[in-house]
This record gives sequence, structure tokens and C-alpha cells, in this order.
Amino acid sequence: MKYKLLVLIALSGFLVSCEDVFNQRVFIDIDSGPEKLVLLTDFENDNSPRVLLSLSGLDYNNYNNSEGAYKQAPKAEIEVFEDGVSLGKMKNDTLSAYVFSNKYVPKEGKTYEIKVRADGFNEIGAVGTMPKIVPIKAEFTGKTKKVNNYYGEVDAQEVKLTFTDLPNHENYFKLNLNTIVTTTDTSNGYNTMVDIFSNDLIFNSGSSFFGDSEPNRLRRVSSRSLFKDETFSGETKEILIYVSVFIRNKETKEPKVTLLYNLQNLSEDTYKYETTRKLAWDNDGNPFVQPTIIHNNITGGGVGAFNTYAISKGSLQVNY
Amino acid sequence: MKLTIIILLLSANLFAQKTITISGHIMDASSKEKLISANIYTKELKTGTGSNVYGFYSLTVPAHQKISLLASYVGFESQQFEISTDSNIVLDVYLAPSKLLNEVVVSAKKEMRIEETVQMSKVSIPISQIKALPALLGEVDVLKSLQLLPGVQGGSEGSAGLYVRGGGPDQNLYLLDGVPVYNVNHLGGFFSTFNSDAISNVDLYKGGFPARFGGRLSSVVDIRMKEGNKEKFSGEGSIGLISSKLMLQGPINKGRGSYIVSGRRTYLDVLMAPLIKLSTNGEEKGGYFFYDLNVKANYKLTDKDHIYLSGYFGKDKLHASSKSSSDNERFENQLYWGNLTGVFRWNRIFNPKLFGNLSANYSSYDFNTEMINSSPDNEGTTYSALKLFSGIKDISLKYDFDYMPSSKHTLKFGVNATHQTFTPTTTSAQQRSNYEGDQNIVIGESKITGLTMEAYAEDEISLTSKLKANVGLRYSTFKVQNSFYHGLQPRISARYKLGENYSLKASYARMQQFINLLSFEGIGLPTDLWVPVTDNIKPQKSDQFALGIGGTLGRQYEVSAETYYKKMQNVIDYKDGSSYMASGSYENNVEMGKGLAYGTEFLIQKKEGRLQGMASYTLSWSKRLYPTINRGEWYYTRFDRRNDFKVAAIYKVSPKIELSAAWFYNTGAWATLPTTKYPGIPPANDPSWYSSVIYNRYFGSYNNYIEKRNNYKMMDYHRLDLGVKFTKVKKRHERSWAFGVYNAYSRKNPFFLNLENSFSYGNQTTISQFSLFGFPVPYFNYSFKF
Repeated sequence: MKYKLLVLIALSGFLVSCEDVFNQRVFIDIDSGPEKLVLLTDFENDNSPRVLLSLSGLDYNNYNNSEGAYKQAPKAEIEVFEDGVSLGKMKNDTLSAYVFSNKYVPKEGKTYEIKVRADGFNEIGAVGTMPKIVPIKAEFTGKTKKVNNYYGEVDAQEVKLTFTDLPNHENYFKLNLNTIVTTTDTSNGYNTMVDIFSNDLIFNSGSSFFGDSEPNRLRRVSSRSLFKDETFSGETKEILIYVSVFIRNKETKEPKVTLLYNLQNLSEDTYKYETTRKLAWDNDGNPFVQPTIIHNNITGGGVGAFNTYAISKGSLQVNY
Repeated sequence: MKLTIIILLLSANLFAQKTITISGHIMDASSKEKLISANIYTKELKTGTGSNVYGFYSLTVPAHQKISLLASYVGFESQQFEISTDSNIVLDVYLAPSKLLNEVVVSAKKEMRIEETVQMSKVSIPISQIKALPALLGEVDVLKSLQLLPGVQGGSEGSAGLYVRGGGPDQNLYLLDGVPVYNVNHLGGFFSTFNSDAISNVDLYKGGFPARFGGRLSSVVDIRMKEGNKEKFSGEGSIGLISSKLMLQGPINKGRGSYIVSGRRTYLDVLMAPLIKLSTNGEEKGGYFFYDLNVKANYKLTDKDHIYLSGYFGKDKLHASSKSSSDNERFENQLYWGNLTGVFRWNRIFNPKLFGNLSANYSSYDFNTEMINSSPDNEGTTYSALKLFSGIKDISLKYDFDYMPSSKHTLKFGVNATHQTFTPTTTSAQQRSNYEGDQNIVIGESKITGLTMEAYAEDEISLTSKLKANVGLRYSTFKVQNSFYHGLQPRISARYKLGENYSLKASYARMQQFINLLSFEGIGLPTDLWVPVTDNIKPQKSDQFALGIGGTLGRQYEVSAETYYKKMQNVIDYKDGSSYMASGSYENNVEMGKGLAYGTEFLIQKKEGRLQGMASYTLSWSKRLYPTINRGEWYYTRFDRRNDFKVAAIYKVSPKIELSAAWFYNTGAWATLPTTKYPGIPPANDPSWYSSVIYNRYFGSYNNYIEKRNNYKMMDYHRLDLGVKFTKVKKRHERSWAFGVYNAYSRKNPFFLNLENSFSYGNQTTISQFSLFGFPVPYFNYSFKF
């Protein structure tokens, strides 16, 4: 019996002697490592590019100023080459943005290289080829389809978007669909609900939590969609979308609704950056999801994205 | 193939010699329980053999000689027989447990010494040691005891999962009486499904796999249930903090057969029920329990025929329900899962040299989740239910033979066919509503069936007095969907004796695996999902080479050092952003790649004497390479732990008092964490956006920077467990009290890391580490035997 008592006393001793014994949480300081130069830019055929140069890590003291909480990089030399020929150095525009003095606009099919030299850092850079423009057109088919808007069932206009995939290699696309409502009254379009529906698989961003029993069902689609040409390689792709317009307030003067569409033919690096970034953002904080490493095509120890893509765009006035 | 033919020719040559065969069973004298891997040895001929998993042995020796046979087994008194080898002899050997002789210190009586066996990378811990070691909440666990061995890593804190030589948890084959068990964990993996009271033997193979084993890349855990006492009715049981166990066994028809029934149930649910009721005014109920039931019966039909019927039934259930007193709305949630295995075996001794075993096996595992909500109102009752189901079911037929043509050859060969049915995940949703009508939706993949057909042959050959080898070949086929996979798996192990007490060993084994486990490593909840290879996901393969030295130091210390190199193909891992809980085709969530594991292991083990125990050290590396994961670069697996040191000791102070301790140390596991942030959205080029040139300041526009997968090494893991056991032997029964403490010095070992994002202020991230048992967890246990 005395042994049992001794053991119990020893156990109790352990329990009471351990300081902070039941606190199961410990905060961890992660070593961020040395700061990195962050390079972000979109090279496209529609506008002269802007380059954002900053540092990794966030400066929360800077959070409320106009440029955000990122850390400002030291002044740098940024030089751009087109097919190996220098286009000159970019000039510092605002605190962290750099632009071409001559408002140079990148061209489809050309290869661009960017080199950044900043004090205290190794030279960083990136290379990207501008894909070719893939023209897209849109037209009404004259058909309508009943769709369930938030406020009930309405007729939606069928619009056919058509483009032809470039043959012989894998292509990556981003389709942007937006609508603009202009009114002659003071409601500023607030009373006009415009929604776009489609059952095309390019809008199916993957399985939901429990899978999708009807992958081909008509669904409300987001304004941006990333997809590959796996199912229509080298062929003409037709996408049917349905645009519904619902005016909540009957007194609203008939607004003008315009569908804006643009198709971006993305480089592989750009596609990977966009998809991994979306994945990381969609799953941020979810402990049941494998963390996502965001694609990085900046060399020399830098991070960020040197995106290249070719845009084709158009607009269509929606009758309803 | 050529090698097999040569072996058979050699065998044929040997048959021509004038020999006789001594055969029989080796059994425990007190219970007539068969002893597995007991040793029988003749000093004059310097040859011997071991009993198989049914206790059968066969030794062929030259005729017309006088020899002495020594039968021995760890923990039992040896017996010696003087024999004249004039004709074939059937000799059943009964060894008395050393305890019956009332000795504390057992002298050197051994199973086959490590330097004698060809098999390398195989370790066994005696059940008596497993039961004597301190355990979490006093619940003795076979699998956690295996974590003491070199080359075997545990998973998360408290988990019974095994990571063997750089392999994943899906690469272990758990066999209970030869039947695969798919889910070996009870809740959280804190307890395994194997009840130590019902187990007679546990062997772990980490490499040098004999050809009779196949189906997984990294290990085979071969667990054999007791057969039951053929002499008298007896039993044992225990009452612990969270569970109780009872095992009963006895003879059938005056010892021609025996039975054993062993059950275990936790009672946390019973203890918590009044507390939950009290704290919620009776509005909520909930709880968790698991139970296991092992049953086995055997019967000797004739001197040559013996049949066995055994089964395992286990279930876990986690449930919670609530009923609102104000509006009668009810929620009922439950999660339940379990294994069911059954096997019928027929042993037949065709002749003294040929032993056969025919098995018909059944094994199934399923898990279910149900979430039900019903709310009555004036119009009726709105009811909704969501149910998830997944499972796997095997039906198989096996025929295995042991053929011992001479003392220089032991052949094992056999065939098996297994039909498997997989239900990856099925979700059904039901809704009955007065407003929206009735809806029934079923989502999920349909059942997938697979057919495995296998054949194997192996021969353990004594080439010279120093050189012995085991050469084997296994051929496996798997038919699934539109694919037919097949492969030859050569196996070879060799032993070369260096003097009396040491031997050099080497082995090569190719393994192939046709099923994969999708599991979330962080928690041991039954999100584990067994899925087959498909047309797109190819079978995993491995080639493992090992070289080692083993021997006996002094008279009682078994020592070994082994180094291994394992290459794996078609191993799978989750792609970035894949959810462990998402359904839909699993092929979309995983990627196939390569694996590499290598390391060196040291083990010293003492299985007898007043002080028993083991110490092990492993230095190892384990990494993976996939086409796109981690940007196509090699990365370390989560449980790649560079240094791993473990020591366990049991000391018998007296016949009544036993002290035990175990200390674990290993380098921290890896985790994938963001180390910094950076702006994520390029500035707009369109001049119309000029006013908001850089809008990275807005919520959500920052990227987490993760340099590579598994970029962060968590804190090292170490823990000390202590225990003491008091035993009192009475005339008709024995009783014991066990006390102990898990994590005696309050080490806050990491269980998981939590990332918290502050959405209000620039998306700052805080990382904290949570421990599960970061404090001493005491236990007590009362057990009895009669």
C-alpha cells in the first residue's frame, strides 16, 4: 500500500510542480529570412505597362497611406529588353511604380526580359513572351432562357462568344465578362440587376465541398474565368452565356446595359500565377487544405509575377 | 525464374539422400497454445528450424543417428529430447512458461538467435513487454509499442500511426490472423484496434520482405491472435480510466479445440452523459465510445486436420444531438466507423514435410457521417439530412504451403485471389419541406471493383554452414476499370555468419501496391479513404536494398545495425490547394511522383532477465519529387525526422513489483507555413485605373510567401513515460495494479500549428503551436487473471 501512496504522491508532485502546465498554446515567431525584392507587372498589348517594385514583408505603419502596407524598395534601375534589344530604362512614377517614358506598348509574339538592380540586392529579373492575340466576338442568338434571378424567374438573352484556339501548343485563357449600366435618372443603375449565367464547363472552377452532381447545370458565373484549351485544342470554341436584366424599381427609367468582354491569351507563367494565387486565397485559413505555393517566375531571389498576355475585347448592348 | 528452377533442382538432389523427418507442433504446456517462431535445434548436426505461424515445424535429418533436439522459446523453459532417427517421427513439444517455475531471473533460453536467421529488418516485441510498458491512459497499445523500434516513426502526438523507413501510413500492411485490417485507429489514433489481451504474437517487417508478403511498400505488421486455452477455462480482464476489457478462453471437447472471446469498451460517453445533461438543461446529448470484439475458435478434426474460425468486430461512434425546448428544433449529428474481419482456415499436414493452409477471408471497413435537422412548425415538419458514406470490402481465398524437403531447404509457396469493392465517397442529401417540397440528391462516385490475383514461392536455403539465403518471387496482378496491372517482385535475403555470435545480412525486395490511402495526416479522424489505383493513377512500386549486421552480445543482448536505401515510384501526394475532405474524383486532387528514403538504424534489445528493454537510434532521410508539387523540386516528407532515439526499460524489482520507463526523442516534423507576405496584384496599366494605381493595400491583395512544401521544422519531440505495476498472485487468481504517467516532465510537443489571419488590419498572420498532452497524463489500471 505504501508503494501505491508513494506513486500517487509522486504523480501529484509532477502535476503541481509544472508551471503553466495546462496551457497548450505557444506562439511561434517564424523567421522571415532576408527581405526580397518584389516585382509585379502585367505586359499586355492594350496599355503601356506599369511595374510595382517593393519589398517582401508588410509595414503596418504604412498601412493607411495611399500605397498600402507593403515595404518600399530602394530606388532601382529597371531595364526592359524586347527580343534581346533594350527598350531603355523605366522611370520612377510614384513611390514604387515605374513606367516607360514613351508609353511603349508591348507587342504580341515578342519576348520581353526585365532586369532590376537595386542597392543591397542581387539583380532580379524575369522573361516572358507575349502570346498572340486570339480574337473573340460576341453576338445575340435571338434565343432566351428562363433563369432564376435573386428575385424570381426571368428571361435571359442568349449570347454566343466565339474564338479559335491557336493550334499546336497548349493555350491558357482568361475570360472577363462585365456589364455597365447607364441610366438617365439618378439611380445610377442601382435598381438594375444584371446577371450572367452559363452551363459551359470553363466556368466550373472545380468540385465544391461535396462534389457537383450536375456539372453542366446553368449557373451564375463570375466575371473572371481561367481555363485551358484541353477540350478544344486548335478548334473554334463557342461559349453560350445568358444575360438577365431585372429592374427592381418599376419607376426606374429604362437603363442602357452593355456587356463588356475580353479574352486574354495568357502565357503559362501568367496562368500559373493567377490560378495558384486564386487557390491560395480561396483556401486561406482552411486547415483541411494543402497550402498552396504561389507560382513565382522572378529569378535572382526575387518574388512576384511578370505576367504577359494578349487581349482581345469587345462590347455588346443588351436588349431586354 | 532461373534461380527458382535451380533451387528446385537442388532440392530434388537432396531428396535422394537417406533421411527421416521429425515434425509436430510446439506448444505452451500450460494452455496448449501454439508457439510461433519457436526454435528447434540439433547440436550434433548444427541445424535447426523454427515453427511456423501455426506452431508447426518439420526438420529433416540424416537417418540412423542419435541426436539431441533442443526446443526453445523466449520466456519458456527449454526442453531437450534424445532421439534415434530410424524413421519419421511426430513429436509435439510442450514448453513450460518460465513463470511457472517461480523464477524472477530467467536464464538464457531463446527463440532463434538473430545471427542465425536469414530474415533481416524484422523485429518483434514480446507481448509481455508490450503489456509492461507505460501507456497513454493505461491503454496498452501494440502499434504504439512498435514506435519504439528503429526506422519506425509515430505520427502526430498520441497517434498509433506508423511511418516506416520513410513510407507513408498507407504503405503498411496490417494483418490480423492473415487478414488485412484497413483502419487500425480508434478515435484520433490514440488507440489502435488491436486488443493486446487477445494477441499472441506481433512481428514487424520493415524490409527484406519474404515473398509470401505483398501489397504494401513499407512494412508488414503480422499480428496473430491467441488460440485459447485448451487445458482449462480461464480469463483475464482490466478496469482502466476510460475502458475495461475482459477476455475468456477455454477448451472445446476435452482439448480437441479451444475458444477465446475478448472484448473492450470505452465508457467516456457514460461518464460524460450526466455532465452534459446538467450543463445544457437536458437540451443536448453527446458522447464517444468504441468497442472491439475478438473471437476465435479452433478444432482439431484429425491428427492432420485443424480448422480455425476467427473474427474481429470493432466500431467507433461519435454523436451529438440537441433539442431546443423553445421551438422543438432538433439536430442530430453522428460519425461512426468500424472494421469487420473474418477468416476460416483449414490446416492440413499432408505429410511430415508438407503443411498447407487454406483461408477464406472477409474484411471490410466503412465510415458514415450523418447530419440531421428537423424543425416542426404550424405547417408540418421541415426535415433535412446529409449522409456521407465510404468504405472498402475484401473477399479473398488463399492457399499457402510450407514444404520442408530437407534441413537445407524450407519452401513456402501459395496463391491468392482477392475481390475488392471500393466506395470512395457517396453523399446523399434529403430534404422534406412544406415550402420547397421533397428533394433527394445522391452525389459521389459509383463503386469501383478490383480483382487481385497473386502467386509466390520462396526457399530458405542453407548454402554452406555460414551462408544462408532466402530467395523468392511474387507475381501480382490487379484488374481495375479498363486497366490490368501486373508485376514480378523478386526478393532475396542472405546471411553470412561472422564467427559464433554475429552475422552479416543483406536483402533486396521489390514491392507493389494497388491501393492508396487518402488521409489527412494532422488528425486521425476517419477522413481516411481507401481508393484503388485507376486507369490514370498507377500502382506504387518500391525497391529496397538493406545491409546489416546482427548478433548476440554477451548472452542476453541482441544487437543489430542496418542501413537501407529505398526508391519508390508512383507514390501520391495531395496537390497544392487540395482539400482532404473534398469528394469528387480523387485523381484530380493527387499527383504521382517518386520517393526516396535512406538511413541507418541501430537496435539493442534485451528480452529476458530482471531488466528487459531496448534502445534504438535512427538517422534517416525521406523525400518526394512530383512534376508540379513544390515547383517540381524534391522536398522532405512531413514525418522525415532526421534523428530518432528511443529507449524503454522494464525492471522487475521483485516478483510483485515491476517498474517501467520509456523515453522518446525525435527531430521535429515538417510543416508548410508562410514565412512572409508580399503584394499580389500587379498595378493596373489602364489609365482609367490611375487614381488607384496600387490597390494592394486592400484586403486580400497580399500573397503568403511559401518558399517550398514542408519548409518549417517544428519543435523536436521528446517525452518520458513512467509506470509501476504491483502484482499479487493468489491461489486461484492473480491481480495487478498499474500506475503511471504519460509525458512525465510536461513537454509541450507540437500537435498542430494554427494560422490566424487578422482581417481587420492588413491581413496579419499569427502562428501558434498547440499541444495535445503538454502536461503529465496520469493513469491507473486494475487487472486480474484467473
